[in-house]
Amino acid sequence: MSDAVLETKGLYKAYGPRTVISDMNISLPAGKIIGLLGPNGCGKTTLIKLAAGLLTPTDGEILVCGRQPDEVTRSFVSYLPERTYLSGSMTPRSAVGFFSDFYDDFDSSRACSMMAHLGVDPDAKLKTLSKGTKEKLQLILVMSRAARLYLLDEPIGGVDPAAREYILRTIISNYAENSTVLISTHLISDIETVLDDFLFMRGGGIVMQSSVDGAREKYGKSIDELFREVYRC
Amino acid sequence: MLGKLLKYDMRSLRRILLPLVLGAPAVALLCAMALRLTIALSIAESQNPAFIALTMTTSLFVTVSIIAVIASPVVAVIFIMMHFYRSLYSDEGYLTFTLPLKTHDILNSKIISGVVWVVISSVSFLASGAIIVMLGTTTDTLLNTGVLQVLSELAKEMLFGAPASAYAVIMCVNAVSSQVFLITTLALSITIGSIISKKHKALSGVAIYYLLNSASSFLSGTVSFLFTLAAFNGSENFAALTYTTMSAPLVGIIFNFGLSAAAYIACCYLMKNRLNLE
Repeated sequence: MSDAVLETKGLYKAYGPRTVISDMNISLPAGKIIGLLGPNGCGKTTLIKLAAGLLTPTDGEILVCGRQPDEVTRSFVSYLPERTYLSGSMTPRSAVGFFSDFYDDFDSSRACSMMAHLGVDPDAKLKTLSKGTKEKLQLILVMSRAARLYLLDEPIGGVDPAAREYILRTIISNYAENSTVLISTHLISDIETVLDDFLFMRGGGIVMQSSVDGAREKYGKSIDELFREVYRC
Repeated sequence: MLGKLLKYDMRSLRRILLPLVLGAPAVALLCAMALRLTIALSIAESQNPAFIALTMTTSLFVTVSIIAVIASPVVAVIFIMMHFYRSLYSDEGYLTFTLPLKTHDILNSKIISGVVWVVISSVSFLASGAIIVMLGTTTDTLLNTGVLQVLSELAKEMLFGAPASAYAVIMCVNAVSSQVFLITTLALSITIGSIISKKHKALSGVAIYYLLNSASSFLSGTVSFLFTLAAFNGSENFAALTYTTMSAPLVGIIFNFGLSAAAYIACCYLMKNRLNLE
């Protein structure tokens, strides 16, 4: 069996006649923070949803720690979608209780501490919170798990720059040594410093996969600059 | 894990449906008082314009509140299905389907909580009806003693009379099996609607439900017809009629549970193998 945390073999996903992922073959190792980078509509979110088990592949395979996504992989995959998935009637405190009930690897005290740091009112109804605060809360919940694979879809897109820094620090300080963090974002300059590896996606496929240091050395550019060059309109 | 999810589903439905199941008897109580007043006013036969206006107002209130009481179980089913759709196929589905739960546990929780609340809303509806009939249809006493007597004799017969009590049990099981069938068919319809449609998932679910319901009605009608035909076997005797009357709910139970099982298996398969939260 492969040691890869996330692996795809000839993965293909289409929505009706529109192909979103085409013949993708990747293998992501454990213990890395990996950036999933690319322009809008290149298939980043689809790949993450396939890994989370929210989409069914049209063809090929996607494996999480050697298993097709199921209830077992969900117990060690921590997924942050690009939208609010918590009910508006919940409060941050009840959301912590909910995660605590379902995930054995969830650390309630860490979640409460992060909520206090980021100024999230634990007793406010979610429907009364701003979009940014809801995003912060969801990230807190997701990063309070000791998961083997974190799937973060646009984790810093909706938060202010000051909170971004805290969130990135949170990601770095909270993931375990053998865990992998896959971050999809277009805010490359913000996250470049925390990444070990990156994947550039275009048209449903991978156009470049490298370590951040390796790419900097090879091309003499930052990942942000490289991204602008690769995706120049 | 099923127990935990069931706890959250029951809590979520309670928040929406408790006001409805408590509100229906409360409206029925007001309706009964208005009905008593309407009857008393009509007995008085006064031509006083104030009397006439009051009679019209109370009559209107009675009509509206009876419609509200009749609509309450329908509204309950709509809320249950909205909860099912929202927690599985809208944004909240991103959380539900990433919980470490087996697909059948997720479906079981939704169906059990849905059936429990449909049964509660049916009981609330029956209690509301009883309140209107018992309290609202008399002006002489607190309760309508005539109706009370008929109901108590009926209850006595059903509880202590051997064939009647067996029939009452069968009718109750039949009623519950209908609710199970209703919820599983709606769950399957919404699941199919969410898979085949991108923009109007809930609307597609309603259309699928209409089709499935029409097909099952046709099937049950055909089965009932064939069953009656076989029971009579060309003769028109009373024993065959009694046999048909007594056995029809039993056939209904088997039919409802059979179709519910088929809908459940289909729904579980689709949720497991065709899930696409775009």
